[in-house]
Amino acid sequence: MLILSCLVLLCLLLVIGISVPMAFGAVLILIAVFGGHDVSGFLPAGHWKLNTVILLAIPLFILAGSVMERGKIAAPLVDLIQLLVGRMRGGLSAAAVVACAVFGSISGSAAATLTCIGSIMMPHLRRANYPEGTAAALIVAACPLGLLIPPSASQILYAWVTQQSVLKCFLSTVVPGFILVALLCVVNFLLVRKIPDLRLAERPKRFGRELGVRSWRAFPALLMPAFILGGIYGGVMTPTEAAGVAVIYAIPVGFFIYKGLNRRNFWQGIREASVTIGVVMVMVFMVLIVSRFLIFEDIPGLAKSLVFSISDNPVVILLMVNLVMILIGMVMDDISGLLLSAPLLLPIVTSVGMDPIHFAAVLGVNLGMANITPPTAPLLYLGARVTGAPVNRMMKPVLIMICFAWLPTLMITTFIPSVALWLPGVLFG
Amino acid sequence: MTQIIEHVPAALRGPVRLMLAIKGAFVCAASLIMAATFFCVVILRYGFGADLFAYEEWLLIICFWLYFMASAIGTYENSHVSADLLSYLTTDERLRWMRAVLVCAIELAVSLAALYWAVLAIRDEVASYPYWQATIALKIPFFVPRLALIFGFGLMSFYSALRLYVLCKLRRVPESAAADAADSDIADMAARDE
Repeated sequence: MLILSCLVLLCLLLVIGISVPMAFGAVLILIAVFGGHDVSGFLPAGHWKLNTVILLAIPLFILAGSVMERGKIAAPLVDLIQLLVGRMRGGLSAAAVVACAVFGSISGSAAATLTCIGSIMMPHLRRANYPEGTAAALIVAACPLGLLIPPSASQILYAWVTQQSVLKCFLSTVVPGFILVALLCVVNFLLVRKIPDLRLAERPKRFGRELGVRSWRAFPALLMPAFILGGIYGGVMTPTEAAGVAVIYAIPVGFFIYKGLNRRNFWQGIREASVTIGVVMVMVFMVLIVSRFLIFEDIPGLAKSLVFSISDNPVVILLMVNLVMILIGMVMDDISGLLLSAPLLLPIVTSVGMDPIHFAAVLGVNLGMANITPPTAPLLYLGARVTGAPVNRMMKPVLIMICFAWLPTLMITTFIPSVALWLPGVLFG
Repeated sequence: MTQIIEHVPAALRGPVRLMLAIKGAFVCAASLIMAATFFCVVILRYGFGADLFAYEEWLLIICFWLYFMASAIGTYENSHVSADLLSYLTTDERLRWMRAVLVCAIELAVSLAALYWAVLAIRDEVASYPYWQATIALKIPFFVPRLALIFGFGLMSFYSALRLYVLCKLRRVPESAAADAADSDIADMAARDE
């Protein structure tokens, strides 16, 4: 009864617009009042949970994303991708999708991907007569690729919560990420195929030379994923150290090579990133305390019995698990959703034979989608601010992309285990 | 655009600005220390075959303070993650204002409860002296990072109270400083790209 009241209160508070950490704080009050727990132990429990070096990768990736964003590190990448695919019909918007995937491989943050790629691509897309709502929706739908293409802050969190290998979790979302890129490009081509006055980019007279010039300009930016991923998979650095190195590498690149950084916007960027770090980590702190109580009350066991009382068919169970995650994603952001659903749902999926690494991919796709699924869709609202397109014009194309790109990717990832497990299997056996 | 600082009592403006500036400087420094530490750890390991002794112990404390000080700034700027759907669904100023007051009052109540729990936690910590918990190598008492809870939730309560006061005084929803800053920033970037 107490747990049901907690869930109802949580949903109610989130829907009226209480911030996520405070909504979880209100749940803690309910637990304290009716659960008879010692309240002096609440916050130290959160401190114990948060007091680990691996979680520092999350603030460091937020910081790296902010420095890269202001350092204009994405601009040469976008130029290069535009040259390669920008000349076909719908190519410019497809370039935005590919740019989100490439930038995701260096930033580890969906918000940084959206801000960087959105602010660069949107003026180009407007000039080329792409419909504002569709173009903005496409960028919004593609930016969670930053969470699927490694490194990914949410996969680090999942690996930590479920005690899995971070490297395997990173790799599990790569193939789903590529499938999503392909499906988003197809949906994009279908959406823009009947727009009569699209302006297409012209092929440069000396394509080879232009390709060389743009590749050279993009080289320092392209070196970054090599550093980060090479360092992590080569066993040279932990993900946390790689994130720290990425921040320090991005500073001189942003100041002296791409010249996007100056003294003023550097400090402004660091301050904004720091505030985001505080907002995210205090949210993690509160969710972790609540999640500890849910585990203490054996809610994962109760949830498992409930699911198996409805059906013991693995397909039905996996569909139900996905439905629950979609519902969680509709009222929470990806990080709090992950912290709440991973310990709750992992026992259920493992009991029907799903590998925890496979579940990392399913959760990654699902919570990536959660970021753009209303009503709690932080990236959708941020996208409206970044691109200047009204939310109501973005809503229909975003829903189309969720239905025809995100949901099919989710189903493929859920029901074809090799999509998630092939790459970790190849590299780690 | 309107920021809440313009509507707080004149006597409070100076201290509020000063506190924000101090916290801003601290969170910037802490973030850079965090990144630089891991960079140094890698350089020391591969460049000099050395390690930074027990760096986790002091770094995690700095980071814990960073989280709570930054979160307090987030409360002031109203930039915590929330489902802002209702404010998009209605254009009725009065409804938006009532929702904002309700949200702010609940957030204030929760922050105060968390502040109370933080005080209890610190009280227990202090009472256990000299057998209090400390880090393994440097013996830094856990009291040090946990003090951030009191300051953090205390400041969050203060900023929520300030926002509630401004909402009641104005009887409309002021636009948040964070949204304004982000908007102008994005506009700058778009202008540069144009």
